[in-house]
Amino acid sequence: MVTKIDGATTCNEVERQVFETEIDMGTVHPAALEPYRVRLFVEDEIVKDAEITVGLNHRGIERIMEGLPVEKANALTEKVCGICSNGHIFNSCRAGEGALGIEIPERARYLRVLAQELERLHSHMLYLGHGSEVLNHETFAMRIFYIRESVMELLYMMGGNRVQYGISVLGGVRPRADLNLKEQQRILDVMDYIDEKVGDFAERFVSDPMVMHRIVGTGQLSQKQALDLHVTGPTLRATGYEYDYRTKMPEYEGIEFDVITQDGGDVAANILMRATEIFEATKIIRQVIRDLPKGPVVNRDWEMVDSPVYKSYIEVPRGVCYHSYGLEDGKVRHSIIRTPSMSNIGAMQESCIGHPVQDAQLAIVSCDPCFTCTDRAIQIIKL
Amino acid sequence: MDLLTSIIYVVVTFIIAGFVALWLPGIEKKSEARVQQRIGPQLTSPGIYTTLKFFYKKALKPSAVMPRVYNALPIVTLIVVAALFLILMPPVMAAWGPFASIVAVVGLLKVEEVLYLFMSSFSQSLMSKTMPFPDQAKGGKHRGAKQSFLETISANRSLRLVSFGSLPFYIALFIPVIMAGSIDLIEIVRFQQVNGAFLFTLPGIIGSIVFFIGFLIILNSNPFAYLEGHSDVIQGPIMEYMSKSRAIYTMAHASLIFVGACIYSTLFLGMPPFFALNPLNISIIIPIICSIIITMAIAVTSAFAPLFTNREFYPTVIATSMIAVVGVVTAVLTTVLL
Repeated sequence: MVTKIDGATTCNEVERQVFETEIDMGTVHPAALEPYRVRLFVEDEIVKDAEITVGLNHRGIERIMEGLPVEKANALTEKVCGICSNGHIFNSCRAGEGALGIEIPERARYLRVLAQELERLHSHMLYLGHGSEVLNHETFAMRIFYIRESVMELLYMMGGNRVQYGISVLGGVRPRADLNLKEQQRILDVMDYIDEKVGDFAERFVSDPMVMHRIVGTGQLSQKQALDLHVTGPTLRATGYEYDYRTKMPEYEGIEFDVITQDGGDVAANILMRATEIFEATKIIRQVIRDLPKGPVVNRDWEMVDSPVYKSYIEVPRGVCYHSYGLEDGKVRHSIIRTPSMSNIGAMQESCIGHPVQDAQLAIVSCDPCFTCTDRAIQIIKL
Repeated sequence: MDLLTSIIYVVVTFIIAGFVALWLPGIEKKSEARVQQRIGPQLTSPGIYTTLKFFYKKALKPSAVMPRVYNALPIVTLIVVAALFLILMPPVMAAWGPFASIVAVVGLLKVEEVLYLFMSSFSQSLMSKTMPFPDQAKGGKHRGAKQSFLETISANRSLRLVSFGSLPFYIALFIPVIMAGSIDLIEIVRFQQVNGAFLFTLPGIIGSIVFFIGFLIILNSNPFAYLEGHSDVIQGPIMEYMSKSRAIYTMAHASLIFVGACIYSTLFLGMPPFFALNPLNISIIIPIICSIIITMAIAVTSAFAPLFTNREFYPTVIATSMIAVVGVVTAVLTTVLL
């Protein structure tokens, strides 16, 4: 123990103050698409410690939801995120349906899975595009965005919008999101296109020695670190831990898919993880179209009752998403939303450490951050 | 050719060079876009319109250690590039003798590189500022850490570039010197006009490859965008330049691409840039074609390469330097044996 110097209480803290140089990235920075603050503590361009601060874009959606009629509150959850918007409204409706004991029609269940997997496709491709952009490989970024565009058009066809689709409602899905045979065929055609093009893309990506040299071993996170930090979704699976909440969701019952894992825990593993999951998503979509049952898409035969807080978990593209609320007189109470990026911030911090300052942004991006929907916490505690 | 005619021809060559140089950023962006299967900007937009636009923007005081010096650095860069172009012209080569030598070319290029070091050292961009609220309020665990500007890192990198990053480029410049047996540019040009261009010899081919890679490093072009990598946390020395300073920087950078091509055509093809009122004198055409080819090659390289970090940069520089040394040895052997 040494004398306190400017609030420092331990030897380590004092030493840190002597050698450390702080590099601030953000709040707004050209390399980061969203407003968050990264403090990098560097020594000779090597990151010794990193600190990510969020809370700069907090919109208080849970607070706004308090006291709103449940349908309106559900619609509002879609505004939480511009990438996994369907995941939020799906989960929110799921929480409401659980609270009110609503059975949803079988066709609606399939359509929800379809929308969810289309969203996973576009999110993973966005990740690959953004990752390529951070690598400064513009050509890869442009090409994957071309492929992604076909999925965006499918989402537009289903929901009437490209970002906020409003597909799920209490009791099922909107009648507008129901698919006729022609639309189903179009989806199948696009899945063939995606399999072919993403296959080409992935092959070129992994066979590019310059790209692979840049990403192998960069931003590495061990499985133990990932579990300690409660990392979720593809970022966790990229460390070799087989955990996908879709295997526990009743919506995915009877649908065959593999839980993809990678061993590296580095940027390369993260990228390959998502590229491979794209093929699993197209496999699921094909099964959904093949087995799509006939019948209604929404159950309106239910009554509003008061209920205690009901919790719902689903697997969105970035990991496990949590929604919960209770109902009083048809109004939402005690609403809580936790997005997967919230759990992954710890991974973003840890994966920067020990790497050159140049790789910091790449390491952060490899954890697929979405700070718009994450702005809910102040401090990350390592368990 | 009398003195007045020579001066007129030199001035006209300068005007042509300035006009061509401003098209090169457009050609680069357009070529890159075509590789990426998109339309890209207009040919005139990145070079000509950008320069004009910046000239009419309102200037603010830059956030720099010495704002006036910092703002003056782009014009110094432009003057250095112009001086480099001047010694490449045959009448100047002939008149200035030993000053128009390979040593002058290397020296001026080194000055150009050092200017980037000054820019990085002086700049303190807004992006480097810390947030105003106390870290304690947000639960920050590092209180009172020493703040640093991003450009400090950029300055360190500039120093590395000056020290050894551009080494292969300079080694490649000496291949024509060895083959011509003289450091004077005029002798190198004469030798090639009599014996044929060095490009079509083995040392010339090796030298050309190294020259191109080295030129990418000098230009800070992708994948060697070491100072101004877009995705890097470093925004580089030019972050605070605005209005006229920015316009001049754009011009200087475009001119550097053209002058680099002129150095290549002079040293490896024996065709220096010069315009004369003689239909048989096409020596300005060759550097222009060279500059277009080099610009398109830069665009294609940029389109197919990620940004290099230290991990890739050092091995590339070492490997390219070794290839350059092989080129030099081959040039020595060729000269001795033939």
